[in-house]
Amino acid sequence: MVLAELLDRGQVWRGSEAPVHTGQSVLETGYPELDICLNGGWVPGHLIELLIDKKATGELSLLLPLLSDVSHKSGLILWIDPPMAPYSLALAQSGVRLRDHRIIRTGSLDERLWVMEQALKSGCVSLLVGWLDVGRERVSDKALRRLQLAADKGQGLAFVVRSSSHINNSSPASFRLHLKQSEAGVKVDLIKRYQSWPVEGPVLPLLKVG
Amino acid sequence: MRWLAIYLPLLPLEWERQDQLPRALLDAQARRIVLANRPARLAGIEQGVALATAHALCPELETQIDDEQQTLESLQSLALEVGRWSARISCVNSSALLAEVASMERYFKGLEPLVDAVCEMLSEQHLSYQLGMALTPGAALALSRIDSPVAFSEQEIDRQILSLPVSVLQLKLKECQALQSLGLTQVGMLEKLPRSEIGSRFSPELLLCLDQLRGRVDWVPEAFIPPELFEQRVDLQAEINYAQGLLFPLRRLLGRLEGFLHLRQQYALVLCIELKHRDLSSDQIKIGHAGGCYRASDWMALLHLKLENYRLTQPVIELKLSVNQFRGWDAPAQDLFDPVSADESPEQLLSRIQIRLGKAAISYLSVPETHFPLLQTKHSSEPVLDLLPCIRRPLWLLETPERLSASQVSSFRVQQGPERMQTQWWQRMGLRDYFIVRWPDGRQAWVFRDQCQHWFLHGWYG
Repeated sequence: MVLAELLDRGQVWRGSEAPVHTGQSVLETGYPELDICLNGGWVPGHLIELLIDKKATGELSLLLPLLSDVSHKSGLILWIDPPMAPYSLALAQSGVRLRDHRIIRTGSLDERLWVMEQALKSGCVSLLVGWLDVGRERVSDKALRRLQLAADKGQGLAFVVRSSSHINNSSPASFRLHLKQSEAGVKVDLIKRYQSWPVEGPVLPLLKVG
Repeated sequence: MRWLAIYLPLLPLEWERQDQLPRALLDAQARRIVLANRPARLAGIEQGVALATAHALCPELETQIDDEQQTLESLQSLALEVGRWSARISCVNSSALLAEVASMERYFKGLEPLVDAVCEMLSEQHLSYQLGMALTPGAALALSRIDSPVAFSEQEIDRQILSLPVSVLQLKLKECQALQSLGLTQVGMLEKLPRSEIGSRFSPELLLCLDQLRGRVDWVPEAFIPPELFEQRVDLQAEINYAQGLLFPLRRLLGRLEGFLHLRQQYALVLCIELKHRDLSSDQIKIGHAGGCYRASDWMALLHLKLENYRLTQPVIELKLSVNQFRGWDAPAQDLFDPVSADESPEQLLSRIQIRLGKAAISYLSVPETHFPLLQTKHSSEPVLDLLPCIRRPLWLLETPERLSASQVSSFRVQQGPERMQTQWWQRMGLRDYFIVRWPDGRQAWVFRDQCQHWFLHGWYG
């Protein structure tokens, strides 16, 4: 019996045909090619990992359309330990409303994880971006798992930015995106997708200024 | 309205007693028996029997003096527990509880499960009880005085009321006897007689009693208001030697706590359990819940974990549970179009973060009034879009510009620029030419050249 026959008779179920994120609202990423890979857009209530080779590889440009979208709705937008200062003028140029943004600087990994967990759990944070690899400490799987659960509870958008040296370590995050610099722009590979297979992503014109 | 009356005839004898020994309650002078439980009654002890006679009839009889305050306290503890099923409870005559249950009908999916749960709670505590349900508190109370099954339909309740014996009406003994001698033994018979005749032949109390029973006169007993802080104790019947053994008595205390929190619409944040020992010393166990919690089962799960590793220093003879940290049971504020369940307000969250990390940990994002990137001293709240520069600024800004070496300068490729920026003459920052450049690895950077032809890295597009 061939596979097509089995499929016709409905005996084999294909994961890709399953209704994805049913009942959940997704937020468009602003990049149609990426929306397709993410089955519609960013999913609130899930931990999303952005893995980058070097700082400023495009992680912020990737989130810029989302930031602009979310900042015009209610809810806090938290930046936990960004490696440099986000330039408010540039954000304003992209149409991001700055009122609900807060930048939180912590002193240690424990504090950072605590703040992220509390914020995600609280339900009043609509978007959180946390930079985990600031110090030398390694983030444990357990800590990431806690963040994932907290995100699930608060149903906010949760991003963690980590170094791509963690790419081969397993992670409980629902989505893992690897951002790679290339000539044409930034290539975004989805190395882990919730309810789907990993997929090689599109090249986005993230760093095209001027 | 639906009222459930719980009549507890033997409450002072049965409160916190698990055994079935013959017990009797004495009057204040300790001379005569006021109340006797079932084993004592089987031994022949009746109300009004002298103490000496009672002891002769039943040598192992345990007696205690009637303490109204104590009885009321136990009734109130029980009222807390009933608070899990009703929001409005009254204590009547220190022997009965009245609970309004109609408003909870949908929550418990009908009144039967609610009544079953109440019965289970009472049986678990080995209390004798009689229940009565009716549309008015007066009728519910009267129905609870007779031992009949609880009726749920209105017709059945009506039938039960009409067949009530007149003795359950709170009448003077003489009047009750007068009615019975006339052959008027049931409420239904009285109801058939004309009102004016009853009014002229009997006391006005009888009419009032009948009116209350039939709901013609409003009578609602005073509601029980739980105290501000929760504090309940259990005298243990036997010493407890191991921590797991505490769970059973604690379960009952947590049941009361749940009722208390339900009545006061609060979450408990920290439970404080005091374990008293024989030599009057005591140990304390504190257990907290970050978000607060009211369900007995949730607290029970936490206590299970806590007591698993807990070792008692001495056998425990008394348990006290007190709670003085609460959180309001606020309904989550919801955005009509954006139903995010906000358990906490942004202010609350930020204040908690500030408490832990210090005031300087949180900063805002706002647009500087000057175009010059280093001089972000004064901040205006919202930018006026016309005033934004037309050349894109980098998303990341370095705290202090980084001096670039000659090899670095030769490795990047200028993409756009220069854009000249100059501060006001009194600020003495000089003149800068900004460029957008492509770094060898493909990233885009924002660099400038100062008047001395030195190159600096100032930001990243990324």
